[in-house]
Amino acid sequence: MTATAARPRSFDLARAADYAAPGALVVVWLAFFIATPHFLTLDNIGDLLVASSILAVLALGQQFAVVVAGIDLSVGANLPWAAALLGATATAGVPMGLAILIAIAGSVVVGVVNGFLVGYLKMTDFIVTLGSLSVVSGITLLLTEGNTVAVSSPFLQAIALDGIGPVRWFWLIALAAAVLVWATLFRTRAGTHLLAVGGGPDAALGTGIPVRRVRLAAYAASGLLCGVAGVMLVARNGGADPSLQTNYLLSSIAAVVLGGSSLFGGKASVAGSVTGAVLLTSLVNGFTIIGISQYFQTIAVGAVVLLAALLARFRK
Amino acid sequence: MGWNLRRIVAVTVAAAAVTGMTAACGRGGDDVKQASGPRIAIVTRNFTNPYWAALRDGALAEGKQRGVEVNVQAGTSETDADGENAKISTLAGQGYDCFGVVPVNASNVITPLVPVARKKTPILNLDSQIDPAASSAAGVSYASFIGSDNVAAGTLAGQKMLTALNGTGKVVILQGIAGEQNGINREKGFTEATGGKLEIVQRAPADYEQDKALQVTEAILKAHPDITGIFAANDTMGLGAVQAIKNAGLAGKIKVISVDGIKDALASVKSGDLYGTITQYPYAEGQLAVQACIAAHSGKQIPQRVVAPIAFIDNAVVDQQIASFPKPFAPFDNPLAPLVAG
Repeated sequence: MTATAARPRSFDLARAADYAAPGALVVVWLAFFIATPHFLTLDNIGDLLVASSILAVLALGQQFAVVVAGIDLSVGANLPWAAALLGATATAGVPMGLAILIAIAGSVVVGVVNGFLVGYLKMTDFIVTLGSLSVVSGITLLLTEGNTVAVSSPFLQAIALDGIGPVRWFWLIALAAAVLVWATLFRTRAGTHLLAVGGGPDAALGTGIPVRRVRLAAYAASGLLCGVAGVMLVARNGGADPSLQTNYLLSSIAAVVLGGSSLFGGKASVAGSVTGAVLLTSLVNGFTIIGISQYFQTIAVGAVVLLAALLARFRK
Repeated sequence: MGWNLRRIVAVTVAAAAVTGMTAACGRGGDDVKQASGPRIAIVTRNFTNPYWAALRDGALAEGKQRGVEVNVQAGTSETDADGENAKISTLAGQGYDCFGVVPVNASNVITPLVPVARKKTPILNLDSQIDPAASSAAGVSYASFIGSDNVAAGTLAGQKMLTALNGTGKVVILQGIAGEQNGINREKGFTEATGGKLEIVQRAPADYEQDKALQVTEAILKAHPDITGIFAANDTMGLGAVQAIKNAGLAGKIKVISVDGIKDALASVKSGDLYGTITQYPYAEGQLAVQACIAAHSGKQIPQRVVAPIAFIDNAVVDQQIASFPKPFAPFDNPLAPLVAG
């Protein structure tokens, strides 16, 4: 095998890998469409997109950490942390608007601490966010004494269930987040810096980019979107569940990787990450409708993630 | 080049395998569907806990017997509120005629049930109570509550403990997770039934865990070696207590009664280690849920509260219960039976 002969073929495969998420989405939707008449209905696709919204927002946050060649494992705890803050403040009688801001701010603080440790103290991203995953989870359990706090707010309930006509609020929140993240990454100088730092921190430093600050900003942005997702989680569940959300953590990373972003940084796809989130949610949704045991559901989700990782091998 | 080709083939095969699996399973599911009766959706916490698995099996068996479609779904753990809610809102858009829901806690399922309630689909509250005030604030109401009476289970345990100890002695209560309502109710029933007769020298939480119950009981036996009875709020703790008693060389001197009627507990009763267990019948609960849905669908008035059966299993009846597990070994008073007859 010579280098010249291999180049066009692996180039094609690399391109194919970029379309892994939309391609797999079409295949999965088609398979469910064949399997059941209840899948491809307006009602169900509407709900599917609502169910995907929280994961999509979370994945968009994860996207920031991944684009600077990092990873944010703390979202598994940061998500219930935001939810618990919202639950605690709302129960204490704080007005809902302020409670939501406090919840989001709380998640940003976690992101800033992660970013400071990774960016300024040059600690390994994996270990830092694994550590904060555990610390934040503990703080959350202390705050709530391990109990779910019921948040029965007509405002949050309306956000979860209603919308403008047939357009649900959850879709709009996810869409707004996606547009903002896309604009930040590809239309601002900050975005150029993020991509440059991810592509090669030494080179970025050489061109005068404040690498440490950029890293901090990336984790803070991850925290911010995690906070938004936490508020959505409370709205959907009508309460703040303090337990660790490992499913969301793994799925957020999987969605980003499925979407075509490189875990080695410097490459981002906003549409891809959102598609990845919809794909992972589609699997669970479709299996639920068909009535397949949940054990198969986790196997299939895992298999899709492994396939994505395999495809990622062909990317440059 | 050969390597690249091999990789492409591998990817294709793997992709085909995943999609093939989904398609194949789906067709299998469709064949079972019958259009005659109501389509019933039941959602519980998880299937890893044998208790919920038994509820699922009872519901599926009843659906099969009566020729109606029953889809039972669950989250991934006892506390997976979000996973459970995702299942509810997915099923809410599928035109089911009746919902049965076991909540993770008193409030988690209310929001996803709002769309179901808006369609005027009957909802059954199964096993654990959903907060009535928060439900009605959100416009959700329940056609019926189907579940065991945990106070009654505690009371029955207390009565049997009194008989076992000839009406006197020192006892200990092993509690479940702090704040968990079913455990609180069991303890309440036991305390009331034994009040003024048995002396409860200690109430210790062991979080429904066998290992924790073992450690807690070992410590208690050092402080109170003269106790003659232990009431554990669930079977796994009861089994932990039994082990601790054995380890301390006190086997036969301290009688342990627990609640649930899981397989391991029945085996322990059979071998003479556990004095008895108050069994609940989640399998019957699943059957009752399907019956209630059928009755509600045919326009019949169903009772506000349907109490699932409980029974005390000691050495005398343990063989019968093991043989009929997970079904009740004796017939029980079912208020729904006349509504779904014929």
